[in-house]
Amino acid sequence: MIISKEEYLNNLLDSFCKYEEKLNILSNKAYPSDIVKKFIEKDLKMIIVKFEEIVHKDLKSNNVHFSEKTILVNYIWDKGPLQNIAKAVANTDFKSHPLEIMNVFRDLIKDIEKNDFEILTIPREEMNFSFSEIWFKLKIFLEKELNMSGFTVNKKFIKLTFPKNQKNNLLLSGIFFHEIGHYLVEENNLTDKTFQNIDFSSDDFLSLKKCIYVYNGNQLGQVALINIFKASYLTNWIKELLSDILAVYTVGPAFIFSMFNLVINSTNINNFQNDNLINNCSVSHPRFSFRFNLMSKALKELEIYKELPELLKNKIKTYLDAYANNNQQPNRSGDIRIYNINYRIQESEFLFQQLEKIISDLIPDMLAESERLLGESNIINKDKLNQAEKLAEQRIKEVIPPNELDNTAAEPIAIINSGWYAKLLCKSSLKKRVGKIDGKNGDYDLNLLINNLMKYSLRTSRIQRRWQV
Amino acid sequence: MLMDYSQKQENSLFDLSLSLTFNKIIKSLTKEKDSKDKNYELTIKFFEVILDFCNKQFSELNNDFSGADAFSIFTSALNNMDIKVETIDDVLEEAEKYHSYLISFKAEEPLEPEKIEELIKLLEEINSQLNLKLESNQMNSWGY
Repeated sequence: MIISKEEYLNNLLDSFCKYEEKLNILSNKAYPSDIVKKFIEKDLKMIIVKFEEIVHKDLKSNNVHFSEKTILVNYIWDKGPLQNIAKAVANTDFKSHPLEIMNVFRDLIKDIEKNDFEILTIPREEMNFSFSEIWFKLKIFLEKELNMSGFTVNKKFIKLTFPKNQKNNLLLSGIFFHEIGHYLVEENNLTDKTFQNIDFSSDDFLSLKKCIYVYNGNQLGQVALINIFKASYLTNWIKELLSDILAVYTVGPAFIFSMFNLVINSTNINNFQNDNLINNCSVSHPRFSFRFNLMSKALKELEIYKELPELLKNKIKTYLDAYANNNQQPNRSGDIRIYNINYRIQESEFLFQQLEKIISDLIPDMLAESERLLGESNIINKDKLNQAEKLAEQRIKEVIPPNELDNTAAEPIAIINSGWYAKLLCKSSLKKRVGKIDGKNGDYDLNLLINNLMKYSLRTSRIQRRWQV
Repeated sequence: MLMDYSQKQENSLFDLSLSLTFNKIIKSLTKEKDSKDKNYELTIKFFEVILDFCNKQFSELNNDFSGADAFSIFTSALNNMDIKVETIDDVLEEAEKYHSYLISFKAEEPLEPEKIEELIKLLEEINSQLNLKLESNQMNSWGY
């Protein structure tokens, strides 16, 4: 062997020592919550010391083979969950986190999961929102496989990343609700539950065979087809659509308008001039036409679509129509390896339509599951939406923060929606009223004003709610 | 939007845990180790989620396991053993068979040597599929 066992283990030990060194530096940072400091000093430290012990013991043994524990420790290290946690802690920036919206997420998740958790916020340069749990599964694994015990942190650590530049943009906060949707879908295994409800014997599903070429003369039966579309398209699309439904169910139209805003961001100038909104799907995401249709269906299911002011209904309809008439996309083909069998998938309009048809049959179940998961109190309803409209009309339009109505604290979801209502319905009134919003900076000053009013309101209404109870 | 990959890393820890469990039970079946050192429960659950998946049921087991994942791993293992499963009913039949072997084994009821051999072969194949899954990046070479 070119590399001896001793060399390999020494190299591993070196990495562990560097990690320990990093933990020492991280433990000297200031954190608003003691739990993070304790987590670094006790739990992470305990893990890396245990890893060092295991490797050191193996180093001293005369056995030419690695011990089972060393193999395990090496695997965990290679997969990087520990490094991922340290990176999250190191990049956490409590000073610049979007405090106001974070409290809304915190309350929402606490109410759904009934468990305590910690949120680590990480600002990023790129346009990237994400929301994921980084500790709990690792802890369970270490307890089971390495018999470790005595961890001090027995709650989830949720990593939340957001684009630095959008920190104060509550108008885009709808996107976060989609990301929270991903988190809830993952934690509750909702994709699996939905996927298994597909009618795998239906003509629609079996017709997907036409789009697959099997290498090496292997059979393409129902089972192979299930495995192929579990690994690509269907499960990914189900995940995205469930997250969309959860976002619409929690924050309603504010999510849809945040999405429209992202569409503007991602449309290049040539496509804009030709009214050519990109409507491509991929292995990971369904088409916007399908997603927007589902979002509007979800609004209708909640019976809040009809409550929207005409102008907003028209805006949604315009986007829906624009995408409905745009189904042009280059068809790709690609290889997929399911364990040890190779297949080639040929994309076509036929494939996309069949996939959309299959998922359409699942939508009633997906809507019902989302409703059950969130619980009535976390679902947007007519009252919250009517409140949003009043907050926009009676407060924001008059440049008053939308924190309360009739001496009662406003609902956070109503506040978030009131921002969009004001932006889309009260723009000219606000311009007249506030001299600074003269259009020299486009919508920048208007957005800034609305966001500041919303941020103030989310903070103060939370305090007011505590007093009301 | 963009998904974070930490979730994938953590799911692979579960796959590893499953693989280690299979190793233990294989050793137990081959009497390499004391039969007390085995984890029947997780292995039995593995077959139960496959049965649930085929029967379109969703039970509490699914909080730990993905039925679709287990289905996929199991069918690939069967394929490697040259056992052809074309339909869900075929898979159901095979899963029920191995599930009953394991239940008997757990209850320390005598299992015929051929059945033990069959079970070991399957668990080994499942384990190699799990290892492939742990190592592989399934999508590749996409292009227009």
